[in-house]
Amino acid sequence: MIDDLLSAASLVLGWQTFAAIVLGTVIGLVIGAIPGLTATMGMALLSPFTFFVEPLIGIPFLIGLYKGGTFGGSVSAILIGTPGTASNAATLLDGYEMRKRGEAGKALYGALHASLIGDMFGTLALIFIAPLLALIAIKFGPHEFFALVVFSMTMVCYVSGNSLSKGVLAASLGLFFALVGSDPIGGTPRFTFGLNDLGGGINVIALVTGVFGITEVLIQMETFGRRGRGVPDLAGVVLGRAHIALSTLIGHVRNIVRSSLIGTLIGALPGIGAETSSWVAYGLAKRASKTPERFGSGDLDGVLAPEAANNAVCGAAMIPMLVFGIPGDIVTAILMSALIAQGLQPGPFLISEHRDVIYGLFIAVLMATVALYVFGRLTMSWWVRILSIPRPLLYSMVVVFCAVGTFSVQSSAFDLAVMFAFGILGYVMRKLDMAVAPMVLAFVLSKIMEESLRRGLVQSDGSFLDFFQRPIAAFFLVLTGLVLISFALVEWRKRERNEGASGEDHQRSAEERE
Amino acid sequence: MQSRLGEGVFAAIVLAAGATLYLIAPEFVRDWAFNIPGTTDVALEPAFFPRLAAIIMAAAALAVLLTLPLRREVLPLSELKFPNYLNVGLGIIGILAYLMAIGLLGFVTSSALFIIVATWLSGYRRPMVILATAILVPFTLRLVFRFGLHVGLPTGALY
Repeated sequence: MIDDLLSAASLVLGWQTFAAIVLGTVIGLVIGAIPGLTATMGMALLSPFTFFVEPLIGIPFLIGLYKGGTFGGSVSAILIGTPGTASNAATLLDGYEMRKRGEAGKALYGALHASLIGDMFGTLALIFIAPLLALIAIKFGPHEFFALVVFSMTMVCYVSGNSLSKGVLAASLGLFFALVGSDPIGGTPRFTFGLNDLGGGINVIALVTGVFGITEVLIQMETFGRRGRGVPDLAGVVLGRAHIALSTLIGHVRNIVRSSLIGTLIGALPGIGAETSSWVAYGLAKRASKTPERFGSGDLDGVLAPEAANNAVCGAAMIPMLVFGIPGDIVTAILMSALIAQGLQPGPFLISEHRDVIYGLFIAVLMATVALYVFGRLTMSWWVRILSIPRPLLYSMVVVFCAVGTFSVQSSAFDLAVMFAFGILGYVMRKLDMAVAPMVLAFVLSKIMEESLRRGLVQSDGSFLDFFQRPIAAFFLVLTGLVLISFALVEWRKRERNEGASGEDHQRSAEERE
Repeated sequence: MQSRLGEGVFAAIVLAAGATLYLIAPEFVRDWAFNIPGTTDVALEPAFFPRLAAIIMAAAALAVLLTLPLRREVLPLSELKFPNYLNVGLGIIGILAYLMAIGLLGFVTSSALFIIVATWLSGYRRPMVILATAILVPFTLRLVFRFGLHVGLPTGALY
């Protein structure tokens, strides 16, 4: 492995890759910091730019963007009390309270250092575990892949949103849209309605840009039109002492390491993203703390834990994507599309067939970690200005980027129409509190799911029992069943508690009337 | 109430779509292109997976419809008032017009016009900043794509 890393270093240690990583990281920091713009949206908008450059320039750019975006969300969470991305929502609880006390600088630097350590954990896990896991994944057959995909989709439905039925509904829409194109086994056209533009299926970039770009613009437009609105109130934001002592960090090292491990473990599981890891890490940090009552009122541990965890996910989430071809979340799904566009098909044979490129990417991931820290520090003083960019100007530019990015993939005006349609669909779904992540992931995973199911049946001569007779496949299918049952039980208990509470309210108000 | 109705309508549409998909799947899915006896026989007929997707769609939509009366959470839809709907409606029309104009007028011209009109109508009133953004952003993107990435963007009637 060390030999592979050293030989790949010569491919990566050039100014172009370095510039791509720096540019991606800085853009990611800015995008993540501005509420309403997320790392996911940034990846969707900018990934088409990478299709036309070398893989070891384009993919490191996206990796830098991913990491920068993940940390960048903590900036707006701390400074204006609005998380830049969903995975920074836990950071807000204590980070914003620290800002109110004039300790915004301490919170930001603490978040940066925790992100660096968490990121390093995830990156090292990627570098050392992915090649080993690939050796096991080579032995996976279609039965195992099918079971893993079903488990991933279930987990996405489970962790996205408050309702399993809505999550499954969203996922089923993704399955439906993925049917368009051609039959993966027989090769015949399917649901193209005679349109040549649909022969290759719906363009994933058009779909992702629509639901994450156009949808967000429409949501932001709801409150436009009133003069003076659209700029967050940053008056009186005092960064305070923009520094954190090494001794302070050492005092919190147990929390940071635990949270980094949580982020790495959760990130490596397909279907679960950074948002879950940050909340789990926050909850465990509070439980382990000697002063849990201080959480939520400006405890530094409440900032360090979620930030370490959500950045640890960045590297770890790439493990199932690279090794199995099953993206862990939307961001890795977009990264996977970018890899495929570069001729690199994720899966068990990716590492063995493209050793130099993949190890080059591992080095680029390490470089991105360092770039995150360096440029995170250098840009600290810019944040107040960046967060003051007027929303109308920003979102009109987002629309332009959506259009150019989508069009450039296939030079197709039809893709623009697809993007627009999905933008409206995404808006309707968000207004009905329906997560769009299950739809996107189901769309991406649908082809693998169908192919592995049908190839599995070919191998087992049409028998479905084989899916339960093979231990790994059976394990994931049983686990899926348990997750579904547990979620149904949790929802049922929640409803009973709500009905009990509303029953008590009715009784109380009836007594008061008497 | 309005948001629950919206939820119900959406689920009903998906339920109907799932049922329709189940019925029409064999018509819109052609037979095997390469019929390999013994292999394609057990690999499930081409309409199987579309029908499975249709069943999942319909079942999930039905579950949402049946659990509607039990739901207590406040939907984002219920927070919208008429001015919000108006803004979104205008936004949809504006974005659609922009996308159609790209092919007619060209990327740079349509993007510049879109930035100017959209930003002004959104309430932002700094003409020099708007103008500078409207010129610099599309023009820079065009340069990046044309000379950096060697990808052509629509030129349309203007540029």
